[in-house]
Amino acid sequence: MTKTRIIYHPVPFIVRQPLTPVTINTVLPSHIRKVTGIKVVHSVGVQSMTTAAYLPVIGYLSLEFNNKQYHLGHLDVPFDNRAEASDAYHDAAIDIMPGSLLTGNYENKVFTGIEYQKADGTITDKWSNYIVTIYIKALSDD
Amino acid sequence: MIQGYRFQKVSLRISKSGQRVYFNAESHKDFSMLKGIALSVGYDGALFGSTFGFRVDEKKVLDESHEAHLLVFGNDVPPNDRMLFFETPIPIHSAKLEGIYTDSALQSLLGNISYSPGGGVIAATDVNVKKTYVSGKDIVSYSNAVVDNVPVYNAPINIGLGNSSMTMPSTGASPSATTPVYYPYDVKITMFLSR
Repeated sequence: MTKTRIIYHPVPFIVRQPLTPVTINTVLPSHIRKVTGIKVVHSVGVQSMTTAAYLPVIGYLSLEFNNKQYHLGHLDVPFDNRAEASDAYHDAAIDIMPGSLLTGNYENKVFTGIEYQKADGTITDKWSNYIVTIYIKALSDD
Repeated sequence: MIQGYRFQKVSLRISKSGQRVYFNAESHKDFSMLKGIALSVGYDGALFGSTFGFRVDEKKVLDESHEAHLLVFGNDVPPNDRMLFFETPIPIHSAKLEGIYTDSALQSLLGNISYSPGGGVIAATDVNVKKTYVSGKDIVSYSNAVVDNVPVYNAPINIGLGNSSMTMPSTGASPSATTPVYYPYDVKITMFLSR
């Protein structure tokens, strides 16, 4: 193996309520040196709430690297249950401080009506938790 | 004469929901670079929520929670469109190749109530339910698989259940018309080697 090699590091998070933003706060593995690509995909869950195979935006994700020193920006998260769904990565070139935090927020934008969450904040049985995964393509010196 | 490329294959058989199947194999000795990897799965419905981890010489390339549907081609998706090509090819010299496929791994996490009410990052230990790449009671293992499209493992029905506590959310919503999954089904792993 060469000293630096490519790895794919997934960071999955779960969305449990339609109106509550999800806070992302996790430490990247210390062997990650540089992020070269990012992809955010819906993993499972939304298909339980819709018959559509494709929704262009189910939420917005804001991501920060290096202990909040680098704000990548805001990313649209689609729901794409089609076999031909895009598997491309957003290009990036972010040098990572070893052991630094990956932080951010995710805001759900679908199924936010009263039929999914009542006025008292309780979730109805029409709502299904879902999982979104941030895939980080990176160079590692592991 | 040896061609410049080779598609080395491993086949796994998944016998029941939630099953985890591990394999290891040795890369072909005449090829020195691993340039890509792809999966093919029998049913579309088996794709979403299933995961595939991959290591080369005991170094992680794909985490165990990497979703299988990102690596899969089917009847209407040619392999070149859905193969994960490594921008930096991975050197292999009769390297140890290991993989672990988990059926419906992520669905089992949807009903987990241990997170904050709004949700949050899923800990790696929750996804990698058992110790990765270690054979044992909960992971079906097969050592030194013969590769190149020879089924390396036919999992018996009652072994290898990694997510026996699978819980789905109690939702009354009508699920979408997803393709049903019929067990057993086969997963074929194609590794793109070059000289």
